[in-house]
Amino acid sequence: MKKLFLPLSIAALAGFFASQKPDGLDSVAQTLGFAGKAREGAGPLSGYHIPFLGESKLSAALAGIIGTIIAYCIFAAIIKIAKRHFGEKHETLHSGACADNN
Amino acid sequence: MVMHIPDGFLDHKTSAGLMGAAAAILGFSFAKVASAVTALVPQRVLAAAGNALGNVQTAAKRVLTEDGEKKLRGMAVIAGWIFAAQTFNFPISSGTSGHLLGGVFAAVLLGPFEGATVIAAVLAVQAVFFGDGGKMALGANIINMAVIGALGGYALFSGFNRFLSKMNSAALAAWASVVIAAAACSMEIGYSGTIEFSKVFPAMVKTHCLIGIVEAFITVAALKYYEKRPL
Repeated sequence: MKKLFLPLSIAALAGFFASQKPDGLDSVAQTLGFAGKAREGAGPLSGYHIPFLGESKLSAALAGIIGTIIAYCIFAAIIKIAKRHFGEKHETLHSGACADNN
Repeated sequence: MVMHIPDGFLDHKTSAGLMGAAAAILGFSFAKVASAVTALVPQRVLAAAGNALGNVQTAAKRVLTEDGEKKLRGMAVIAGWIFAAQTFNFPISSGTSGHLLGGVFAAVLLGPFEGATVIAAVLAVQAVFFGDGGKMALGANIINMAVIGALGGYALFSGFNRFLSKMNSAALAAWASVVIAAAACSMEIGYSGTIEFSKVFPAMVKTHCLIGIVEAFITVAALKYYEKRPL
């Protein structure tokens, strides 16, 4: 988790300092007039805000921090599953080694 | 959101087709990653190590290697990085902002299939938890940003890298991958009949030519940062 310090800081700072302007596709959709066809995405943290904290900057910062942790945890979970599925690792072996000579 | 397609911009045929394509390519990437982080070990070795004494008969067994676990830990950290970086929108012109996509960064640092897997995971988190990018459009977004952005970006990088330095190749590939992904995105939206292709294509490409420049700078800075430290 120590290695997540920088990304977590970036996510927190983004809540306070990131540009609020519509980005890329969003901006094109507004200029060309088809932005209205977009259906608002649903999700527990939709719009990068914590529901009970409203649309404040603090709420955006916390939502970013939570998302960063979720993204990390997906792969942490994959490691857990891989260990169970593939069994214990062997100290002397490295990736790609194929000692198939019995 | 730079090019995260929301639901409503694609027709069902397009989103279903791209979902299928994304599933097939991601499945292949998962298999590649799985074989990269594991090794085939003959049972006799395991028996000697005190494991699986009972099945010496079976020929070989796959195990997660130490390097493999390290690689997966690196993917976890980079997934966190990319999610965080994508929340940081920077202004690119009056009224428009952009953020990092990170496909080339992840693919050059971790490998093409690892990079594509990481980007796809981040896109899934954004769609499911944050409503950023539609759930129906997730396939299209994975094709644009993980397949074109990371796998395609890595192909461009290795092509450039035959003539140019690592950092210059990464910068060029980062810029090009964003522009090509934006072109693909406008094709999908145009094909769905949401708006004329002739209108959305030039607008998307023009905007993302600018966003791509920032992508190139951040990609090089992030790769330089990780040149000196282990993941």
